[in-house]
Amino acid sequence: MGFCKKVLWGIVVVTLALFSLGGFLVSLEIIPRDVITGALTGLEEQLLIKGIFVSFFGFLFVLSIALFLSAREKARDAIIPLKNPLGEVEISQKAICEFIQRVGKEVEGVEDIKARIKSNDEGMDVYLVLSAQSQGEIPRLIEELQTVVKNYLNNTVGIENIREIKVKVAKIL
Amino acid sequence: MKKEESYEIDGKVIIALIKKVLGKLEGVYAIKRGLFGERVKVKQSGEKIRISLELIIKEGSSIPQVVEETQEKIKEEVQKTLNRAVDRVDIKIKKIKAIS
Repeated sequence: MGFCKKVLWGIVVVTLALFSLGGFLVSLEIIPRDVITGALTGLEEQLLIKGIFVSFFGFLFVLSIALFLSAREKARDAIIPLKNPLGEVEISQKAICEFIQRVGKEVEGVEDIKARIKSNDEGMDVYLVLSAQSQGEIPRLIEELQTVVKNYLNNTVGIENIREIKVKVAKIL
Repeated sequence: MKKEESYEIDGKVIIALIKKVLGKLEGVYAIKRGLFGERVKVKQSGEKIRISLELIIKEGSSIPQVVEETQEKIKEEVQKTLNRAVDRVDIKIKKIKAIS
Protein backbone atom coordinates (compact mmCIF):
# COMPACT_ATOMS: atom_id res chain seq x y z
CA MET A 1 0.00 0.00 0.00
CA GLY A 2 1.43 3.36 -1.01
CA PHE A 3 2.01 6.26 1.36
CA CYS A 4 -0.82 8.38 -0.10
CA LYS A 5 -3.25 5.52 0.25
CA LYS A 6 -2.23 4.96 3.85
CA VAL A 7 -2.77 8.65 4.61
CA LEU A 8 -6.17 8.57 2.88
CA TRP A 9 -7.21 5.50 4.81
CA GLY A 10 -5.97 7.13 8.01
CA ILE A 11 -8.14 10.22 7.36
CA VAL A 12 -11.16 8.07 6.52
CA VAL A 13 -10.79 5.86 9.58
CA VAL A 14 -10.16 8.74 12.01
CA THR A 15 -13.06 10.82 10.62
CA LEU A 16 -15.41 7.87 10.75
CA ALA A 17 -14.32 7.02 14.29
CA LEU A 18 -14.78 10.63 15.47
CA PHE A 19 -18.20 10.95 13.82
CA SER A 20 -19.46 7.69 15.28
CA LEU A 21 -17.93 8.30 18.73
CA GLY A 22 -19.38 11.81 18.89
CA GLY A 23 -22.83 10.59 17.85
CA PHE A 24 -22.62 7.71 20.31
CA LEU A 25 -21.65 9.95 23.23
CA VAL A 26 -24.34 12.50 22.42
CA SER A 27 -27.04 9.84 22.04
CA LEU A 28 -26.10 8.36 25.44
CA GLU A 29 -26.09 11.92 26.79
CA ILE A 30 -22.57 11.48 28.12
CA ILE A 31 -21.99 14.67 26.21
CA PRO A 32 -25.16 16.66 27.05
CA ARG A 33 -27.10 17.81 24.04
CA ASP A 34 -27.28 21.25 25.59
CA VAL A 35 -23.51 21.52 25.29
CA ILE A 36 -23.69 20.77 21.59
CA THR A 37 -26.61 23.09 20.96
CA GLY A 38 -25.02 25.71 23.14
CA ALA A 39 -21.81 25.41 21.21
CA LEU A 40 -23.74 25.58 17.96
CA THR A 41 -25.63 28.71 18.93
CA GLY A 42 -22.58 30.23 20.53
CA LEU A 43 -20.77 30.26 17.24
CA GLU A 44 -21.96 31.79 14.06
CA GLU A 45 -24.52 29.26 12.93
CA GLN A 46 -24.16 29.82 9.23
CA LEU A 47 -20.43 29.27 9.39
CA LEU A 48 -20.79 26.19 11.52
CA ILE A 49 -23.45 24.64 9.32
CA LYS A 50 -21.23 25.37 6.35
CA GLY A 51 -18.35 23.72 8.21
CA ILE A 52 -20.44 20.65 8.99
CA PHE A 53 -21.54 20.36 5.37
CA VAL A 54 -17.99 20.80 4.10
CA SER A 55 -16.62 18.19 6.50
CA PHE A 56 -19.45 15.74 5.79
CA PHE A 57 -19.18 15.96 2.03
CA GLY A 58 -15.40 16.19 2.27
CA PHE A 59 -15.47 12.94 4.18
CA LEU A 60 -17.67 11.32 1.51
CA PHE A 61 -15.31 12.61 -1.18
CA VAL A 62 -12.25 11.20 0.57
CA LEU A 63 -14.10 7.93 1.11
CA SER A 64 -14.97 7.68 -2.57
CA ILE A 65 -11.32 8.28 -3.55
CA ALA A 66 -10.13 5.71 -1.03
CA LEU A 67 -12.62 3.14 -2.31
CA PHE A 68 -11.60 3.88 -5.90
CA LEU A 69 -7.91 3.49 -5.06
CA SER A 70 -8.63 0.31 -3.14
CA ALA A 71 -10.57 -1.20 -6.06
CA ARG A 72 -7.83 -0.23 -8.50
CA GLU A 73 -5.15 -1.66 -6.23
CA LYS A 74 -7.09 -4.92 -5.96
CA ALA A 75 -7.45 -5.13 -9.75
CA ARG A 76 -3.73 -4.48 -10.19
CA ASP A 77 -2.89 -6.89 -7.45
CA ALA A 78 -4.75 -9.85 -8.91
CA ILE A 79 -2.97 -13.09 -8.28
CA ILE A 80 -1.56 -15.94 -10.32
CA PRO A 81 -1.76 -19.32 -8.61
CA LEU A 82 1.31 -21.57 -8.77
CA LYS A 83 1.15 -25.34 -8.36
CA ASN A 84 2.29 -26.59 -4.99
CA PRO A 85 1.36 -29.60 -2.83
CA LEU A 86 2.25 -28.08 0.55
CA GLY A 87 -0.27 -25.24 0.49
CA GLU A 88 -1.65 -22.53 -1.73
CA VAL A 89 0.97 -20.46 -3.48
CA GLU A 90 0.08 -17.27 -5.25
CA ILE A 91 2.08 -14.51 -6.79
CA SER A 92 0.72 -11.04 -7.36
CA GLN A 93 0.42 -9.75 -10.91
CA LYS A 94 2.01 -6.50 -9.80
CA ALA A 95 5.10 -8.40 -8.61
CA ILE A 96 5.34 -10.21 -11.95
CA CYS A 97 4.90 -7.00 -13.96
CA GLU A 98 7.58 -5.19 -11.96
CA PHE A 99 9.87 -8.16 -12.41
CA ILE A 100 9.29 -8.28 -16.20
CA GLN A 101 10.01 -4.57 -16.44
CA ARG A 102 13.25 -4.93 -14.52
CA VAL A 103 14.39 -7.92 -16.56
CA GLY A 104 13.35 -6.24 -19.83
CA LYS A 105 15.36 -3.10 -19.08
CA GLU A 106 18.49 -5.22 -18.83
CA VAL A 107 18.20 -6.20 -22.50
CA GLU A 108 20.55 -4.10 -24.60
CA GLY A 109 18.64 -1.62 -26.72
CA VAL A 110 15.66 -1.33 -24.37
CA GLU A 111 15.25 2.20 -23.04
CA ASP A 112 12.02 1.68 -21.13
CA ILE A 113 9.36 -0.98 -20.87
CA LYS A 114 5.88 -1.28 -19.38
CA ALA A 115 4.40 -4.70 -18.73
CA ARG A 116 0.85 -5.93 -18.26
CA ILE A 117 -0.35 -9.49 -17.94
CA LYS A 118 -3.61 -11.31 -18.36
CA SER A 119 -4.05 -14.76 -17.01
CA ASN A 120 -6.79 -17.39 -17.18
CA ASP A 121 -7.05 -21.20 -17.06
CA GLU A 122 -5.56 -21.58 -20.53
CA GLY A 123 -2.42 -19.61 -19.83
CA MET A 124 -0.86 -16.24 -19.51
CA ASP A 125 -0.56 -13.44 -22.04
CA VAL A 126 2.09 -10.79 -21.57
CA TYR A 127 1.75 -7.34 -23.12
CA LEU A 128 4.83 -5.17 -23.36
CA VAL A 129 5.02 -1.53 -24.42
CA LEU A 130 8.56 -0.76 -25.45
CA SER A 131 10.69 2.35 -25.85
CA ALA A 132 13.70 1.24 -27.85
CA GLN A 133 17.02 2.82 -28.66
CA SER A 134 17.41 3.70 -32.33
CA GLN A 135 20.61 1.75 -32.97
CA GLY A 136 20.16 -1.91 -33.80
CA GLU A 137 17.41 -3.89 -35.45
CA ILE A 138 14.05 -3.63 -33.77
CA PRO A 139 12.78 -7.10 -34.82
CA ARG A 140 15.91 -8.68 -33.34
CA LEU A 141 15.46 -6.67 -30.16
CA ILE A 142 11.82 -7.75 -29.84
CA GLU A 143 12.73 -11.39 -30.38
CA GLU A 144 15.48 -11.19 -27.77
CA LEU A 145 13.15 -9.45 -25.32
CA GLN A 146 10.46 -12.08 -25.80
CA THR A 147 12.98 -14.87 -25.24
CA VAL A 148 14.45 -13.25 -22.13
CA VAL A 149 11.02 -12.58 -20.59
CA LYS A 150 9.76 -16.07 -21.42
CA ASN A 151 12.86 -17.76 -19.98
CA TYR A 152 12.72 -15.71 -16.80
CA LEU A 153 9.02 -16.41 -16.29
CA ASN A 154 9.60 -20.13 -16.92
CA ASN A 155 12.75 -20.59 -14.87
CA THR A 156 12.56 -18.00 -12.12
CA VAL A 157 8.87 -17.49 -11.49
CA GLY A 158 7.82 -21.01 -12.44
CA ILE A 159 5.07 -20.02 -14.88
CA GLU A 160 5.14 -22.46 -17.76
CA ASN A 161 1.94 -21.84 -19.68
CA ILE A 162 2.81 -18.57 -21.36
CA ARG A 163 0.68 -18.33 -24.48
CA GLU A 164 1.90 -15.13 -26.01
CA ILE A 165 4.22 -12.19 -25.42
CA LYS A 166 2.94 -9.25 -27.42
CA VAL A 167 5.28 -6.34 -27.88
CA LYS A 168 4.21 -2.88 -28.99
CA VAL A 169 6.96 -0.46 -29.89
CA ALA A 170 5.76 2.91 -28.68
CA LYS A 171 8.92 4.97 -29.07
CA ILE A 172 12.29 4.83 -30.78
CA LEU A 173 14.76 7.14 -29.12
CA MET B 1 -2.71 -44.45 31.73
CA LYS B 2 -1.80 -42.13 28.91
CA LYS B 3 -0.88 -38.67 30.03
CA GLU B 4 -3.14 -36.14 28.38
CA GLU B 5 -1.24 -33.54 26.42
CA SER B 6 -3.27 -30.40 26.62
CA TYR B 7 -1.58 -27.08 26.13
CA GLU B 8 -2.10 -23.92 24.22
CA ILE B 9 0.40 -22.23 22.02
CA ASP B 10 0.12 -18.53 21.44
CA GLY B 11 0.08 -17.49 17.78
CA LYS B 12 2.96 -15.10 18.51
CA VAL B 13 5.18 -18.05 19.34
CA ILE B 14 4.47 -19.64 15.98
CA ILE B 15 5.04 -16.32 14.20
CA ALA B 16 8.39 -15.98 15.99
CA LEU B 17 9.34 -19.47 14.78
CA ILE B 18 8.32 -18.57 11.23
CA LYS B 19 10.48 -15.44 11.34
CA LYS B 20 13.42 -17.45 12.64
CA VAL B 21 13.07 -19.87 9.71
CA LEU B 22 12.69 -17.08 7.16
CA GLY B 23 15.79 -15.35 8.49
CA LYS B 24 17.86 -18.40 7.55
CA LEU B 25 16.51 -18.73 4.01
CA GLU B 26 18.61 -17.25 1.23
CA GLY B 27 15.83 -16.53 -1.23
CA VAL B 28 13.44 -14.76 1.12
CA TYR B 29 13.90 -11.02 1.53
CA ALA B 30 11.17 -10.21 4.09
CA ILE B 31 7.60 -10.63 5.18
CA LYS B 32 5.36 -8.06 3.50
CA ARG B 33 4.27 -5.33 5.88
CA GLY B 34 0.74 -3.99 5.78
CA LEU B 35 -1.03 -1.14 7.50
CA PHE B 36 -1.36 -3.18 10.68
CA GLY B 37 2.04 -4.87 10.71
CA GLU B 38 3.52 -7.93 9.08
CA ARG B 39 1.17 -10.08 7.06
CA VAL B 40 1.36 -13.43 8.78
CA LYS B 41 -1.72 -15.33 9.88
CA VAL B 42 -1.77 -18.41 12.05
CA LYS B 43 -4.96 -20.39 12.51
CA GLN B 44 -5.09 -23.22 14.99
CA SER B 45 -7.87 -25.76 14.88
CA GLY B 46 -7.39 -28.62 17.31
CA GLU B 47 -3.94 -30.04 16.87
CA LYS B 48 -3.46 -28.62 13.41
CA ILE B 49 -2.00 -25.34 12.38
CA ARG B 50 -2.61 -23.45 9.18
CA ILE B 51 -0.22 -20.67 8.26
CA SER B 52 -0.57 -18.03 5.59
CA LEU B 53 2.00 -15.38 4.89
CA GLU B 54 2.87 -12.74 2.33
CA LEU B 55 6.48 -12.62 1.23
CA ILE B 56 8.97 -10.52 -0.66
CA ILE B 57 11.33 -12.79 -2.57
CA LYS B 58 14.86 -11.95 -3.64
CA GLU B 59 15.47 -11.78 -7.37
CA GLY B 60 17.76 -14.42 -8.80
CA SER B 61 16.36 -17.42 -7.04
CA SER B 62 13.84 -19.81 -8.55
CA ILE B 63 10.56 -18.86 -6.93
CA PRO B 64 9.00 -22.36 -6.87
CA GLN B 65 12.12 -23.69 -5.14
CA VAL B 66 12.20 -20.87 -2.60
CA VAL B 67 8.52 -21.32 -1.85
CA GLU B 68 8.80 -25.08 -1.43
CA GLU B 69 11.86 -24.75 0.79
CA THR B 70 10.07 -22.12 2.88
CA GLN B 71 7.03 -24.33 3.33
CA GLU B 72 9.10 -27.37 4.23
CA LYS B 73 11.34 -25.54 6.71
CA ILE B 74 8.39 -23.88 8.44
CA LYS B 75 6.60 -27.22 8.74
CA GLU B 76 9.74 -28.91 10.08
CA GLU B 77 10.51 -26.17 12.60
CA VAL B 78 6.98 -26.02 13.99
CA GLN B 79 6.73 -29.81 14.14
CA LYS B 80 10.13 -30.14 15.81
CA THR B 81 9.72 -27.32 18.31
CA LEU B 82 6.05 -27.51 19.21
CA ASN B 83 5.20 -31.07 18.25
CA ARG B 84 2.21 -29.83 16.29
CA ALA B 85 1.41 -30.72 12.70
CA VAL B 86 1.19 -27.93 10.18
CA ASP B 87 -1.69 -28.60 7.86
CA ARG B 88 -0.64 -26.18 5.16
CA VAL B 89 1.52 -23.16 4.55
CA ASP B 90 -0.09 -20.76 2.10
CA ILE B 91 2.23 -18.21 0.57
CA LYS B 92 1.47 -15.08 -1.43
CA ILE B 93 4.39 -13.45 -3.16
CA LYS B 94 3.86 -9.73 -3.19
CA LYS B 95 7.15 -8.55 -4.63
CA ILE B 96 10.35 -9.74 -6.26
CA LYS B 97 13.10 -7.60 -4.81
CA ALA B 98 16.11 -6.66 -6.91
CA ILE B 99 19.29 -7.13 -4.90
CA SER B 100 22.17 -4.99 -6.13
